[in-house]
Amino acid sequence: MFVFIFVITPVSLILRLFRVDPLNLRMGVSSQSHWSERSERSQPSHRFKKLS
Amino acid sequence: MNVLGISAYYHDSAAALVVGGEVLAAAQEERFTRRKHDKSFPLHAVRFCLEHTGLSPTHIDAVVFYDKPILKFRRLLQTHLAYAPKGLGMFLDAQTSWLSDKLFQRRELKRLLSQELDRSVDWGEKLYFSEHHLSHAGSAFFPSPFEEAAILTMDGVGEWTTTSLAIGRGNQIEIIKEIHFPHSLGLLYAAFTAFTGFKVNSGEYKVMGLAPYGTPRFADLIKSRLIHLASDGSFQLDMSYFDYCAGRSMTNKKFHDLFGIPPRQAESPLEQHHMDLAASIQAVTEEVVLSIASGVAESTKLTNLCLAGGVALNCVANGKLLRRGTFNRIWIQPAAGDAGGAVGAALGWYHMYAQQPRSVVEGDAMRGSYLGPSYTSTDIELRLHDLGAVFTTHDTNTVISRTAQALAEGKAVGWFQGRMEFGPRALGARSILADARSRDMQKVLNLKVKYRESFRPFAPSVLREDVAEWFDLRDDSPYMLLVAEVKESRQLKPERSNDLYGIELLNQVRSEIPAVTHIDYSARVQTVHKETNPRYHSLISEFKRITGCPVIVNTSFNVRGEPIVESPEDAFRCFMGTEIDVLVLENCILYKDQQTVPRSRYEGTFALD
Repeated sequence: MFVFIFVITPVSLILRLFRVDPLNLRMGVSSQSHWSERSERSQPSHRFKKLS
Repeated sequence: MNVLGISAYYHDSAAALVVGGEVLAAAQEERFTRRKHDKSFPLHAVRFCLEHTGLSPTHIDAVVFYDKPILKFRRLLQTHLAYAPKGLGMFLDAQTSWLSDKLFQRRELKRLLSQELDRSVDWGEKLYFSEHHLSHAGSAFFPSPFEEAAILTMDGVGEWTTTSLAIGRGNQIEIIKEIHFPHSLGLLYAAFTAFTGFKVNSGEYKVMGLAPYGTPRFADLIKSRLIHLASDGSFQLDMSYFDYCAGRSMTNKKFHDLFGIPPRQAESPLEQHHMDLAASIQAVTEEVVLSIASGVAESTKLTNLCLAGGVALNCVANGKLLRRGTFNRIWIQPAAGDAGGAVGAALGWYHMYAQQPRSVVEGDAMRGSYLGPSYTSTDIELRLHDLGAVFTTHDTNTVISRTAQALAEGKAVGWFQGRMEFGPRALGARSILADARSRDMQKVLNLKVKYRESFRPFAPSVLREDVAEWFDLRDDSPYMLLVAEVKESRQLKPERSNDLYGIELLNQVRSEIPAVTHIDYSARVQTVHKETNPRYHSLISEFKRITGCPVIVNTSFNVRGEPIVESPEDAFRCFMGTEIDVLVLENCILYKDQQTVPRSRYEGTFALD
């Protein structure tokens, strides 16, 4: 609860203040396409070892 | 090389074992633990895979988990950053699982593999992680009959991705573009599933079955307010109507006000507006799938399409996509949901990490999806003796002829043969079968055998060679993932239907095979192939010889809320607890009226799905 109230919530409010929209929640910003191009097109070998 | 694929910790845990590039065994954990959609580590499924192939844990070269837990963790964190201070309850609920299932997942997997399989193996060395949608794409492309294909994966959400377009060539998959959470066709459908009173992650199928009873009068409203569809088929949801990012429910008051209807309570009566909602979301889903597929065809210029992800289980949309002719050929992974991720993760590692070549198999490389456990007649006899069952054992020809005769006499038959299916559909290995020509069978099976909602349709199994004679379908549909209309010449027009609505339409005879004809004349077809299931093929052939009809009802061998039966004991319990008349386990036949053990009450044993 501490993390949520004292870390996540303030960061969230700051992000909103600067209109950062990581989840693409604002409608109508890009109406041509909602696809995101992949920069790394296939999972390279080293990433099979990683959890991210 | 021996590769173990694992899908776990969300829903439908499963394990798959790939040996030398071939999928030799795969099973869902729920079948062993008897907990529907079991999400725990698939220990029983892993053990089955090893036993079936005769491999010991030391023979495993790689264990590949089907998604990336840290990416998922980041998505959860960023979602909270976007919504806080809203979402505290969800945050508190999720804390524990974040630690065990995500942040420390490598450690947890190593511990389980070591503790349960073999302590002498360095599992950390052998543990790998594939992206969720790469696992889906791998399950869709690598077993497919295509050397080159576009791959479309659509589900609720993986790590960030909800929809992906990839291209498969030879032994490689290249992901081209993605649509990210929270914009998800799977979650949009799930929101309507919850709103119409069904359970998310299991009730979507019911919504699809309910849709033909309604009219899509809300479709325009959904398209104008809830989803923006771009010209290339990609989409964005207006999240102000949904609560799944930071709340405990899928939809919010704004959503309910939009439709002017409160959410339906589970198990309460279904009204016409619920059917209209189902019809509307189904229509919108079909439009999005067709539109996105057109965009994919245009951008890739490819003529083959592979599908996976939970949305690919929407067989009505799949059937329309096939008939539209956007792609020449379509192949859909039978375990299109998360269970199939185990297959895709293992195959992805084998081809993409280990750089092993891939050979394209005619038909496909899923072996009819008969990848689970099997039991010999001798083993079954011993087990039946222990259960106190009264049974007789016969040669194969007698089993086939007696079963076909029982079906022709209108009996409900439990059919337990060969290796269990992998994926959500029963395909003639763990099935309840019946006569599709019977006008009462749909009602009888729903209410007395399956104990499930009366509106739900049943699917037909048809001999591959006869499919075009009975359905508006010329292609293979071995996995029951394509819906097609009953052929017009087989349809019967009910005398009075204009003054009937909703469920009232149910009891009308609409074709020569009314038990498998939905109210819009559609049917979820399974083509039965001699090559993959010769015994089931023989049974339907014999039924055809007796009756002239090569179509039977095929529904999963379980009751509502129960995982499909895995063992002879599961099958016997289900047989004794329901109105199934005859049970056929390999070469053993059991008739209900000859059994001496007391009947058990089965209805209510399993939590409703």
